Amino acid sequence: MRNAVPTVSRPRIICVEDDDSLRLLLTEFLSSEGFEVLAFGSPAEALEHIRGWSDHVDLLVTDFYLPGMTGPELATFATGLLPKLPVVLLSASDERPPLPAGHVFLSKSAPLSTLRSIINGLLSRC
Amino acid sequence: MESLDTRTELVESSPLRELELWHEFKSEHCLWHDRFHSLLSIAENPLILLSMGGNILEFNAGAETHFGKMRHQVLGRSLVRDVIGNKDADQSLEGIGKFLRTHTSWDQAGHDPLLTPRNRILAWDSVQVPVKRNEVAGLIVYGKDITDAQELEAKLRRTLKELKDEKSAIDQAAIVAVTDFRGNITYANKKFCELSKYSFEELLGKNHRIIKSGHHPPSFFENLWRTIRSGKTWRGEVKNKAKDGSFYWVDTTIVPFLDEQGQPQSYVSIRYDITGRKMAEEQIDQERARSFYSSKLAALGEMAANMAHELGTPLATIRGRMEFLEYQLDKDMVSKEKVIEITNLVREEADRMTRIIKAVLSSARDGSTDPLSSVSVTSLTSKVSDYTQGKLKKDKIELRIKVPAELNVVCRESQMLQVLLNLLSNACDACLSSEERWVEVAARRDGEFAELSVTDTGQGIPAEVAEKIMQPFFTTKPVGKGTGLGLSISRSLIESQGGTLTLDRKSPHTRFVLRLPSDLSETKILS
Repeated sequence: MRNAVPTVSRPRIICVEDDDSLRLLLTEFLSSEGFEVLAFGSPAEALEHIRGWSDHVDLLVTDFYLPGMTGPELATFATGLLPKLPVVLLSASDERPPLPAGHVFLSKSAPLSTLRSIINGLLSRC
Repeated sequence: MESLDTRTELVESSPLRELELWHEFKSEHCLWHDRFHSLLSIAENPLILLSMGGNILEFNAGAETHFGKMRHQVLGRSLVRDVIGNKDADQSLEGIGKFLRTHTSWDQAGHDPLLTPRNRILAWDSVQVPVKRNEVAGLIVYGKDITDAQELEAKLRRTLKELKDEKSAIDQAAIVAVTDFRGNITYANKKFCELSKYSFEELLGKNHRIIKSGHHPPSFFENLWRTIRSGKTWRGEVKNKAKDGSFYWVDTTIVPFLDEQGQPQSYVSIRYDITGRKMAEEQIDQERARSFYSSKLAALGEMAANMAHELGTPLATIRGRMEFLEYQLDKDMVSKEKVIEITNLVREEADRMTRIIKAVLSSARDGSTDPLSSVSVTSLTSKVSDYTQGKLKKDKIELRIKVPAELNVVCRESQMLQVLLNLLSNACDACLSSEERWVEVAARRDGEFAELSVTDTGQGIPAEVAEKIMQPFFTTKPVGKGTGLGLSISRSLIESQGGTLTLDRKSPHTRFVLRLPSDLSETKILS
C-alpha cells in the first residue's frame, strides 16, 4: 500500500505523540505518503533515538504537551543535535508560543492534507 | 456618768417599803389584782412590774424563762443590778433610769433592745401604773423576743441588697425585659430602650411583638412559646427590629416565673447584643457563598480548558481517520476489512469523547442535595486524573495514584470530585517551586473509614501557617491568585458528608488527609 519510493531515499520522520490512537493514525498516514516513520509515545525515547541516529532524521513531528517534556523543549534539544531539523508542533489547544525559524505550529483539528503539504514544504527547503 | 447615777438611784430606793405598799395595794384591790395576775401568767413574753425604785414587784413565767431566774428569787430585787446584770445593762436600761428620774413615758425616753443572759434579744416597752393613788407609781415593763425577727430582717435586708446588686449588675451588662403571661411588656431596662430605640413609656403594656423583625419563621416563635409556657427556659438567637427600622441580633434567654400552681405568670428575658458578631457571620457566609460560586466557576473554567484539550486529540483522530479513509477509498487502496477496522477505531474515539463529556457534566452539576452513595475510590481518582492531565503535563508533574481496587467511599460524588480537584490543584501549585515534581493520591481502608491522601513535593507548610490553613480567607498565594477559601470550603464539604479533612503535620511532604465512612450500610446505621 506504500508508494513505490525507493527505501534509501525515503525521508525519515520522527513522530512523537503520547495518544496511542492519534500516533497510529499519524504513522499510517505519513507512511502512506511515502515517509519512513519512527513513532514514539515519550519524548525521552525520541530524543534518545535522534541522539543515536542523527544522520538519519529528516523531520520531527511532535505533540505540544507530552509527559516529562513539552514539544518545544523536545524540539530545542533535537535542534541542538541537528541545527537544521524542521519541526512540526501539533497541539489540541490554540496556545501558540513564539517559534524559531523552521518550526511550524499546526492545530490538531487541521486536515491531514495540510500536514502533508507543510511537511513537503519544509523538506523541499532543506 | 449618767448610767452610774441611774443605778445609784435605783439602789437607793427602799425595796421592802415598795413591796409592802404593793401587797397593801393587792389586798385593797383584789379584783384588779386577780385580773392582773392572770394576765401575767398567760403572757408568754416577759412581763415585769417594777416599783418606782426599779425593784421587782411581779415577775411572770415568760420573764423566768428569759432571765433564767425564779419569781421568788427576784421579788424586791433590782431589775438592773440583780436580774439583767450583764455588761450591756447600763446602757440598755438607761431608758428605765431616765423614766424613773423624770416620770416621763419610757417611749419618750427612748430604749434599746436588751440582750438577755441567754443571748436572746428583747425589745422593751413599758406602761405606767398607778399602784396606789398618786403616792406610788409603778411600771409594767414588758419585753418581746425579737431575736428571730431581727435575724429574719437582717437576712431579708441582705437578700434585698444582693438582689438589688444583682439586678444592677445585670442591668449594666444585659438587656432585660419582663412581660406578663400574654407577652405584654411590664418592665424594660435602659439597655432594652437604647437598643430598641423605644422609650420605656412606649414599651410599657405593649406586646413584645413590637420588636419582631419578621426574620424568623412562625415555627420559631411557636417553639419559643411552647417552651416557656411549659415552664422551661428558652434560649436562642433572635433578630429584632428597632423603632427606626434597623435590625439587631440578641442572644436571648427567657425564664418563666411560675405562680403557686406552677403556671407561668411572667417571663423575664435577659439578652445580649450580638449584632456585631451576627453581621460578621452573615458577611462571611455571603463571602463564602460568593467565593464558593467563583471557585466553582474557576474549577469549571479549568475543566473546560482541560476538556477542550482532552477532546481535541480524539477529535483530531476521528477527523484524520475519515479524511484518510476518504483518500484511500478514492484511490481504491482500501479493503473491506480495513474499513471495518477504521470504523471501530473511530467509534472508540467517539466513545472516549462521550466519557470525557459525561465526567465533566457530572462534576459540574450542583450535587449538594444528592444523597450519599457508595463510590469506588479508583473511579474518583481516575476522573480526577483525567481532568488534571493537561495541567500535570504542562507543569511536568508526575501523578502517582496508589489506590486499592476494592475500596469504596460514602460521599456525594460531585462534591468529592470538587474537593479532590481543589487539593490536587493546590498540590500542583505547590510543586512548581521544586525540582522534584510529583503529586501522590493514595487511599487505604482504616477500619470503617476510607482514608484518602494527597501529597505533594512542595516546600511543605510552616507550623505557623499550618495553624491557620483551614481558616476562611487564609491564603499563601499572591493577591489575585487565591481566594483563601478553597480549603475551608473543601473542609465544610467533607464535613457535610460526615468526614474530616486534615493536614498531616507529621508527614515530611505536604499531605492532606480525607477520612470518610467507607461503607454505605454503616452510614445508614449511624444516621
